[in-house]
Order: sequence, then C-alpha cells, then structure tokens
Amino acid sequence: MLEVDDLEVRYGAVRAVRSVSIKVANGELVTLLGANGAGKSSTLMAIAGAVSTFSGRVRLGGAKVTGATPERMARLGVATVPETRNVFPDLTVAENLRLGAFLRRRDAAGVAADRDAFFDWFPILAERADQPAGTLSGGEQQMLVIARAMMSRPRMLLLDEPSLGLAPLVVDEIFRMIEGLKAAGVTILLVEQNARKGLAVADRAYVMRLGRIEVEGSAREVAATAELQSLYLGGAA
Amino acid sequence: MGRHIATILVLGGLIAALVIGVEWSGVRVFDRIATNLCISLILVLGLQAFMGNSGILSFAHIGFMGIGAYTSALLTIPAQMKGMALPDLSGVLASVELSPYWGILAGGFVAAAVAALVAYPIMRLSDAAAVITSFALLVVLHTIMTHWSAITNGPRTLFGLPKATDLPLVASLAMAAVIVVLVFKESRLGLLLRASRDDEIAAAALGAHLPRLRWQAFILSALLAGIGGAVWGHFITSFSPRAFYLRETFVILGMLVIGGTNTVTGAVVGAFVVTGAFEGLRASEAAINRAQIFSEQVVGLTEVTLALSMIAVLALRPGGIFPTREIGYYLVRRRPEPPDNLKSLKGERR
Amino acid sequence: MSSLQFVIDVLSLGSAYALMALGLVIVYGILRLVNFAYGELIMVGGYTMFLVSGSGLPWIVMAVSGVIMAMVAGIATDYVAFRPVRSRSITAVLITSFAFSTLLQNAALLFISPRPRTVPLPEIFSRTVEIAGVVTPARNLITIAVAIILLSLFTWLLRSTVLGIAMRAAATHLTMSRMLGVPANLIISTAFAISGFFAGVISILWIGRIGTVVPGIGLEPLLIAFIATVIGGMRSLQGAVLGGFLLAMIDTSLNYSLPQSLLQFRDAFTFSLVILILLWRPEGLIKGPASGQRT
Repeated sequence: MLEVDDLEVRYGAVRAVRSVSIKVANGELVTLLGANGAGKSSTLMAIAGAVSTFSGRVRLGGAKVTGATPERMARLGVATVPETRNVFPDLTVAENLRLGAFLRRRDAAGVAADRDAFFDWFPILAERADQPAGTLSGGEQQMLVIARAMMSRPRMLLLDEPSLGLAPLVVDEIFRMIEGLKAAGVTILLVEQNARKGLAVADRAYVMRLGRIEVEGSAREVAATAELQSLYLGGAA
Repeated sequence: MGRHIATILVLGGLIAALVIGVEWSGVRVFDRIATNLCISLILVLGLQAFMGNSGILSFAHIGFMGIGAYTSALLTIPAQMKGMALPDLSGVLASVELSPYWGILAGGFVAAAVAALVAYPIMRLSDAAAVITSFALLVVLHTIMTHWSAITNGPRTLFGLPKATDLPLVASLAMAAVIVVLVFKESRLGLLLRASRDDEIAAAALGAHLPRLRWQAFILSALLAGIGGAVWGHFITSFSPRAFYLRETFVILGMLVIGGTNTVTGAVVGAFVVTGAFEGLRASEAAINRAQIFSEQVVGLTEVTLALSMIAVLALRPGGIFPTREIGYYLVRRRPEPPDNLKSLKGERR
Repeated sequence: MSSLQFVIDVLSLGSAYALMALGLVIVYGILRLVNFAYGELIMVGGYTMFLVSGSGLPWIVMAVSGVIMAMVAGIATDYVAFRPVRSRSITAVLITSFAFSTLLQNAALLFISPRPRTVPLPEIFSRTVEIAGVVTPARNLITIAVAIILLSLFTWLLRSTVLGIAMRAAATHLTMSRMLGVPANLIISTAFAISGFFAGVISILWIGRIGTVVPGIGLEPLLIAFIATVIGGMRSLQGAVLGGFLLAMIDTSLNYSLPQSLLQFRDAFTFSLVILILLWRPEGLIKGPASGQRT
C-alpha cells in the first residue's frame, strides 16, 4: 500500500533522512527501528506531510503523494499519531474522539457507534469521557490519540514512538492495543526505539542509522541480526 | 574583530560619502534631504538596537523621539519666545535657556529616563503582548503630548527652537550611532539577548535575565530616539505632536524592515533606500499633480507604496536586504570563525 | 450619579469592549498572529454603511452590508497580509498587517475623504430610556443585548459544533488538527470572517456612539481590543471578555472620578493601571489553552 523511494529529508543543511526506501503491504505491520536521531521520526513525518520532502517519492496505493499536505493525507485515509502525542488538552476526551472523525462528520450515527466501540474496548476512556484530555496520564493519552486516529477509519496508521515516556506495564497495554488493531486488519507503519517491543509485533522491520536504512527484512530476520546491538550502542548521534 | 571594523568603515564611509557629495553639489534641496536621512539613521539605528537584538517589535520608538524633541525645546527656546508660546510654563523651565547641544543631550537622557521608568513591566510580557503594549504606549505618549498644553502647546505647533542642526553635526551623530549600536550588538549584553531569543532556558543558564536585558536594550533605543528627536527639532524648528505618531512610526519601521531588522547594516541601508524611494515618489507625485493627470490631487502615494513594498519584502525576503550578516562579514572572511549569530549552532537532527 | 447608572455604563461599555477584544482574539488564538488591520475592518464597515446610506435603502440593508463588507475585508486581510508571510516570523506578520492597515486607511483617504462623514442611524439609537429612575440612551441597552446574543451564539458555536471544536483544536495545535483532516485554510478563513463579523457589528455600535466615520475610526477600538486582550490573557476567549469589562470599569471609574482638568489624560491613567496589572500578572488574568509553545 505504501511505497517510499529514495526519500531525503533536510532540515536546513542537515540531511536527516537519506535515500530511504520502504514498503508496507496491505495489512502488514512494519516497524522502523533505530537509535535517537537516526531519522525514523523524520521519515514518518515526511510521509505524513507534516515535514517537507527534499527529494524522493512516496506512493500510496499506487498514487503519488510526495509532498502532500497533512489534510490530503488524512483524506486519503492515512492517520498519523506523532511522537508528541498532541492530545488537545482543553478539549474533552469525547471531543478529541469526535474530532478524530472530522472527515466522517456527516455520518453521526456511524461515528457514535465507533466511539462507543472504543469506549467498550477501553473503559478508562469512557470513564474520562467528559474530562479535559490534558488531565489524563501519559498512557491514557496515548490510548486516546491512537483511538482518535482510528476514528477516521483510516486504511493506514502511522505511529511514532508510542512507547515514549511510558512505564513498562503501560507500554505493554499500548502494544496490546496495537496488536488488536493489527488483528483487525489495519495497515501500520510503526516507529519505535524499543526494539524488542517493535519487533515482537511486526511482520517486517527496517533499521535506520544516521539517516539511512542499514538492515531490512522480516521481523525474525532482523531480530536475529547480530549487528542490531552495535547499531544501537555504537552508532547514531 | 576585523569584520566589525570593516562594517563600521563601510557604513561610516557611506555616510561620509553622502555628506561630501551633498556639500560638493551645493544644492540646498540635497542638503535638506541628506540631513533628514541622517536623522532617520539615528532613529532607525536606535530601533534596531532594540528590535534587532530582542526580536520584539516596538511601536513606541517614535513616542520617545517626541519626548526628546519637546525636552530640548523646553530647554532651548529663548525665554522670551517661550513666554509667549507656553504661557503656562513656570519656574525654572520658563527661564532656562541652554545651548542646543545641551538640549539634544538632555532630550536623549530624558527619553531614556522615561523609558527606564515605564518600560520594565512591558519587558516581562510575552512577545505578542509586549508588541501590543508598546503600541498602546505610543498612543499614550501621543495623548500626553497632545494634551499637556503647558509644556507642549497642546496639539498646536510649538515654535522657536534654535536652528542648530546642520549636515556635519547630524552626520557625525549618525556615525556615532552606528558605532554604538554595533558595539552593543556584539557586546555581552547584545549576545545574551540574541541568544535568549532562540533558547531562553539555555541563555538563563548563562546568566541572562531576559526582562532586564530587554529593558536595557530598550533604554538604549530610547536614548537614541530622544537624541534623534531633539536633533530633528533643531532642524525643523517647529513641530506639533502629530509628527510623533503613526505615520513616522510606519516610515521608520519600514526602513528597518526593508533594510534588515537584525543587522546594523540593514538599518543603514534601509534608511538610504527608503529615503531615496520616498524622494523619488514625492517628485513623481508632484509631477503627476502638476501635469493634472488625475482630476484631483494624488496624495498618500508614498504611504501606499511603502506599505506594498513592506509586504512584498516580507513575503519574498523576510529578513530584509541584509538579513543576518553585517557587511563586514562579506568583506573580511576568515577560516573557521565563531558564528555571528549563535543560532547557527542549532543544527541538530531530530 | 447612582450606582445603577454606573453599572449600566460599565455593562454597555464593557459589552462593546468585550466584542472588540473577541474579534481580535479569534485570529490571535488560532494563528498566534496579531491583526493590526483589525481596526480597519471596523472602518470598512463604517464606510460601507456611509456609502449605502446614500442609496435610500432601509437602514437594515445598510447595517447588513456593513457587516458583510467587514467580513470580506477580514478575509482579504488573510490573503494580503497573512498568507504571503505566514510561515515566516511573527514579527513579519505584525508588520504586514500594520502595512495593510495603512494601505486601507490611505485608500479611504484617497477614495472617499479625510473628513468625517455622517452615518445616519435609526432613531432608536438616540432615544433615551428610563429604568428605575436612571435615564440612559437606548443604544446602551442595545449594546448589552447584542453582546449577550453574540457571546452566547459564539460560545455555542465553539462548544457544540464540529467546526467550533475544530477551531479550538486548531488554536491549540494547528498541525495536529490538519493531520486529522481539518482543513487549515478553511479554519483560518473562518476565523478571519468571524473577526470581520464582530468588526462589522462593532462599527454599527461604535458609530451609534459617535455618529460619524473617519479613516482613523478604527484606532480607538483597536487599542481597546489590544489592551483588553493583553490584560485578559492573550489566548483565552473568556479572558478577552473579562479584559473588556475590566477595562470598561477602569475607564468609567476614571470618567467619574477624575477632575475636569485631568480628564483628557484619562487614557494615560488607564494605561498606567494596565501596566500595574501587567506587572502583577504578565500572562494576563486568565491562562489560555495549554500548548507548550512560546506565545
């Protein structure tokens, strides 16, 4: 579904992402791994349209989407969850979810049904439905933003470091949620620093270092790579 | 260091060339234009000292110009004339009559003192709030000038300032202003202030107290504004509060923005460019009106053009003609040199 | 002078001030941009009413066209002064909007007249009304009523409609809302249109007070909006309203208490008090939405 060819992202003179090529097939969960500063988030943000592409091509379902605006990517069915989470802290949980379904706003019944489904799946969100989202804990916020992203019934989910800043038990819960989404057939591109978790849930994986892809393959293959350790400990900034 | 000296030499040379050219040509109109240009230089440089380093847009600058002008007027208008023009004046102010040079100095210091007193709370505000409040300050200063008839003759014109400003004087003051503002920019104070724009917390770790730094820069800018105002007063010899309000603010701001807010070179170049354009436009406006191309007098052409130019410059080249580097940088290149602007250190990847 | 008189004065002036502040904060809240041309939107409304008044059409047509033209001018401000420079620095936008405001004022000067032009208003504006022994111009009550209606309408819009929620989200984090499909351009144009709407209404109320329109008519409301916004807290809508009423209270109190000789300096006194408030609370009285970004 997603094809990235030779992507380059620059921040001024800094080349954060260099000739990165990635594929994500329908229904797959692909993980992008790497240490801090490897360029994973920049890759994701460029695909999402939040950051500009210097060169390269991005194709979604065969159609060219390089340099598309975030709104267009959303309309094409790509939902993004940035690493900064970005709950809207002054909006309630319910309002956050309702906004997630912005593109489906004419289908009030369908939106309400989906919202209730998420409330069933995560009772904690139901409990806090009318609270400002800013009062939620980190883990609850992460659940909220993933649910919010799913409210638009996207065909693809871009997840940037969902485990960031969360306690291990909470991380487990988040990844159970991700597994659940995968089981439901959602195509996911996941960026993770936590290699163990990221590989456990993935079909395929890429490992980035200093802006480039160093290793790629099935999750099992990548997990077995001896270089993985050195890539994390020896390498990036 | 070489860069800074080069900058001073080039900018000073530009001013000197102006003076020499005008004196040599002997045309009186040029003398007036050049004098106004040098006065504008002092004002724009003062504004640059604050805006360029703190990153905050200040609308109050021209208000302090007015304070300088009125202070010098009060101190230098011959006592007899003063008695007629400002009958409600009493005490020492009524009788004092200083030389214009003292008046100019006093104008600067009073403006700086008022700035010191009034401006500190503004410096603690967020950027946008500070800008808005500076605008309000301009209006308030204007209101006071317009209504405090005892010392300003109210909204009416105040006459009688001795004409003491000539091109050599104002050009020297302008050159001095170039040096002062450049030295300030590169001083510890200026560097800390500019650093704080990019990363408040890191700068605080270096000992920067942002409101105080801004306040000090503001006082310097008010000092220059006051001097500029007083000098202008002694050039034009009569003025009213209308001269220190929105139109002048717009023009001085335009000069700085077009030339380059963040550089001293920008301030100087902007003043030259806008003055040149203005005189050209004014001549065109006069020609159009003389030729009676339109049935009515065309007025406001200069403001409209300036407005459009400002928008165009900001859209296309937002930093102005000289956005980040002084001219000395281009003339004196060295091998690995510390960046002018600490900003360039922030090149890390995400 | 009775306290009821004082209360009515404060409420009516505060209503006007609150509306002025709101029109400004709407754009600032979403874009973090101060629209210096806001006063000129009021001017456009006023001059439209003046121009339409010559046609002999009923007053309501005049008023509605004023509001519509103010909205158009608001959206024009977005295209001329904001979009070309939006991605640049905040300073750039302040200057372009200031330049645009100069442009509009000079246009009025050139194409209409520098002299004040009378705008006829329905007789109800000048009539007086008596409440519990206090005589007050009807327009004061009209102002209060209009403010209540608009504020309620606006609050409902923001709270209950998807568009309103989207606007509040855009104000907190524009990029994130775009990732949810919220069209940024639409939100921004809507904000400017609403700002223009408020400006149009204010032009009716303000001219109701002073009777004429001049190119510089927008300056005083702009200043009021500025100060009310700053003391209320730059990004909070409730703060803008609160700031407006507080400012009205200060102005009215000074009006009543200053000796005649100092009355003309009222603005200087108001400003000094505002500075004191800011000394005590630099962020304003009400904190705006949390965003973690430098204001």
